[in-house]
Order: sequence, then C-alpha cells, then structure tokens
Amino acid sequence: MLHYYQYRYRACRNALAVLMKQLQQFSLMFLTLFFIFIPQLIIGVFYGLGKLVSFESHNLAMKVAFGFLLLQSLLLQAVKPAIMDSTYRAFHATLLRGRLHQYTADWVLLLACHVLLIAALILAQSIGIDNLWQAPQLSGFMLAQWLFALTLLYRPQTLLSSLLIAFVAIWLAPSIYIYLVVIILCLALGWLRPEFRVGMPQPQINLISFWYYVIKTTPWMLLWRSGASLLTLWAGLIIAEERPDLLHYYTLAILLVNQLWWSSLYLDTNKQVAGRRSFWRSLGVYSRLVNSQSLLIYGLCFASWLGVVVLLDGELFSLAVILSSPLLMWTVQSHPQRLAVVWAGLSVTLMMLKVLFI
Amino acid sequence: MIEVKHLTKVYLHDPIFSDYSATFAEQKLCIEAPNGLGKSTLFRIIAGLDDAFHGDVLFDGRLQNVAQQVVALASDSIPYPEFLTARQLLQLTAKSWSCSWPELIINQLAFESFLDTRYGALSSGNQKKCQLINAMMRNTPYLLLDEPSAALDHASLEVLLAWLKQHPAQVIISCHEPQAFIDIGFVTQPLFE
Repeated sequence: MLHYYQYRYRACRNALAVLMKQLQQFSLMFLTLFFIFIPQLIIGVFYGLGKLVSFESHNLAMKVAFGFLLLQSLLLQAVKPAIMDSTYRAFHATLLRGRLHQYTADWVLLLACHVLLIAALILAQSIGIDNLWQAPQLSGFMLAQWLFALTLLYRPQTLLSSLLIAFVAIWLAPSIYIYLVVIILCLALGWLRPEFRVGMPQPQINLISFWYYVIKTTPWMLLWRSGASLLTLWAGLIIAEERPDLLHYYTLAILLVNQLWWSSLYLDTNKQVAGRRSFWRSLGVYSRLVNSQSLLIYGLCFASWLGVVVLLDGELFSLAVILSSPLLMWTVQSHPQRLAVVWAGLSVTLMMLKVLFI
Repeated sequence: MIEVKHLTKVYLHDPIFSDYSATFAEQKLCIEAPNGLGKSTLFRIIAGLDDAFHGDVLFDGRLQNVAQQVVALASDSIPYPEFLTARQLLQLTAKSWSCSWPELIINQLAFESFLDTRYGALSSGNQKKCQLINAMMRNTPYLLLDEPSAALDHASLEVLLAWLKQHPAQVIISCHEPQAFIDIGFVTQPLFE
C-alpha cells in the first residue's frame, strides 16, 4: 500500500503548490509589509493558547477557544481539497479495496496541515505530560480541535451548526470545562444525527434571484469572509480593552483588511459572470449582470465597514476606506492580478495620511 | 444570408482566422471542417458572443449592433451556470427575449422530466437537448447549431430533423456526420474554400 500513500503525499504537495502559487502575490506582499510582525504572530498563537492553560476568567478562555476553533476552520477549509485530494477522490477507489487506507492518509495529511493543533501539541509537550492533568482544559481543547477538523473534512454541515452552538455557548456555559464538554457533545450528536436538507425557497429566476442561487450553491464564499470579519472584529474589541489609545490605528487596519476580502468576492462571483460571459451575452444581459454583481459586493463591503465602524467607534477618516472601495473593486474586476499591489498601495497611502495629517 | 468579411481572430498568439471572408447563402447549410479549425469560434463571433476580433459580419447585407437579437446559437462552447435547473435556464431565456415557453419542443424531445434537474447534473445528451431548446425557442431569423446531433439519441435526432425541415429561418450547423441533415435538404460548404 506504500504506493497509495506516496500518491496521496504527491497529490497533496502538488495541490498545496498550486494553492501557494495562487497566493504567491499575497504571500510576498504580506511578507514584505508585515515580516517584522511574523515572530509576534507566532508568539501570539502561543500566547493565546497560554490563555487557555492559565486564564483570568472562564469567559475569556471560552472566547479564546472559540477564536481558535473558528480560525482553524477557516485555515483548514482552504487546504481541505489538498488534504482530501477532492478532485481525484473517485480515482482512489480504483486503487483501494476498502476505505481504511484512504482515511489513514486523510488523517495523517490533516495532522500535518493542522498548524494550530501542532502548536497546541508543542505547548502540551513543553508543559510536560506529567503536568498536563493540572490543565485538563488544554487536552479537552486539543480533542475539540481534532474533532472539529475531522468534522470539517467529512460533515461540513455539522461543523457549521457546531460553530454556531460554540459561539452561543460562550455566554451560556459557566466554565471552560463545561464549555468544552458541551461543544464536543454537540459535535458527537451532530455526527450521529442523519444529514438533513433544509427546504430553501425557490424564487422565480431573474437577475436578482440569480445571486440568491449563486450564494445558495456556494455559501462558503460568504461564510469564510464573515468568519474572517468576525475574527478581525474580535481582535479589534480585545485591542479596544487592552490599548484604547491605539484603537483608531487598528480600526483603520481592520477596515482595510475587511475591505480586501470582501472586494475579493469578485474573484469568486466572476466565475459565474465573466466565466459565463458567452451565456449572459447570448441573453443580452451581461452588462446588467455585471452591475448587479458590483452592487451586491459593494453592499457587502458597506455592511462589513458599517459593523466595524459602529462597534469600534470609527472616526470620520474611516469614510476614506469605503470611499476607496470602488477603486479596489474595479481593480479586482479589470486586473485581478494587481489586486494585492493596489490594496497594499491603498493601505499604505491611507495609513500614511492618517499618521501624518490626522 | 450571412457574410463574414476580413475576419481576423487571434487566440493569444495563434491566429485562428486571418483576413477570412466567406458567404453563407444557403438557407440550410452545414459547414464542414476538421476539428480545431475554428467552426465553434466562428459561430460565437457570428452570434455576437465574442467581440474580440477584427472584421465585419453582415446579416442580409447589414451590420447588426447586437447580433444576439437576430441569431440564436446552441453550442457546447457556451458554459451555462451549472447550478441552475434546466427550467430556470429556459425561463431566463424566455424573459430576456420575451419568447413563449417552448412546451411543444420540450414534449417532443421528451425533456419534461429533466426540467428540474441542475444543468451540471444532466447527462451530455440532455445538456445538448437543453442547449437546442434554448436556441430553438427564440425563433430568430438565423439559427446556428454547433454539432447538434452529438450525444443525441436516435428519437431526439428524428425530432430535431423534422423541426429543422419545416423551420423557416436560415439554419447553419457544423456536423461531422452530416448525411442525416443532407437528406432533409442541407447543403454542405467547407469552412475554408
């Protein structure tokens, strides 16, 4: 069976290489702009995990646990096709008699790609196995991390409901221990219950309801952006408590980051617009569809902007972000390969203006 | 009659057509050429779905600003939104061009039971039927069918032939097995004379 595991390793490496190539421009830009923060980022991960081991309040520990579970879900969703070899998964059945080796390969690759679980394991190792019982919540959290990751691979519908329950439970569970038990139980029950289909409305097809069908078919493109926006907003709320004097700088940074991924929705929706250009032209509605796409994305950019500005008390200068969004949207639409450069240029310009003149 | 004058079309650096001119005068015409010479590209240009070219396309001697208004095309090279059902796709066409629901042709092609299937989940034969209905329902003065018999079952091909035989519009098809179409009056013409 060694040949199968070799194949899975190669397939995963190849898929990750393709993914990295797609993100090359962003990776380079982030490394260039934020390379001095990379050590702090790694320290921040361990600092956050440390808050789970030694916490000041149960509520804070629960918020940290949820933040990590949401972040890992976003990260793992991006590499899920590489872990599962989704494109060629049917091909596996031509090589295997049973599913055992397939699942084993899935799990090994999942572990290798699960950087946040690896970080937790490193922390557990540094604490020492003997001392681990003094912080049982860390073991429970690692179990939750692994189960959430497995659910993401095999039962994504359950993952969504479990994340929702985990979010609500932050305000209901009296301690981190009960919180972890509750979310693990919810996951287990989610696995046991049969898959259900929600009867969604089926409106008459037109250019507005078309977007409803697009989102219904590929909800992930909105879900990951909403999750990422929630995480950045959460980071902003922590900064508001810890360093309120710096909040106005961080608010601008959060708005810019949100602007980037909501504008990048063009890349996803364009598969149905520019990618189906001939079809829409054959109906004579191509330009109207492009306009409705712009309206939809600008509306979502605005909603995300408004949420941050209201919750973090954004100042008047925050308007610059939403006013510059059309420029970024035009870039994504016309020159998608220049998105990273334009966004970086815009971010640096607005930051400079704020530092120098405001 | 459709005339193509001085058409130049380049894909990246490969010219597909270079100062190409042709007249398609026959009312029922089958264009013949080996694979990969540009039949589908030419159809897309004539149908107004591809405007990245130089040259002119004349319809009965006149330029058309919006060729889609007078030409309907059924082709595998038009990627349909796969998550919409066949019914939704046909409804979009009916609304966009204010044409009536093609009840008769749907029944004749035995397509009713597939109307609520997503386009991406249709078999290749049913995808072809959906494309054909989508173009035929528009009743345009020019109808282009790219490989209309590919993947069609025998009964559906008979329905298509009967429909084409009585259809008054100019119909241009591309087909590698044209005999059935020649039998109902189609004339063959090579893509490059």
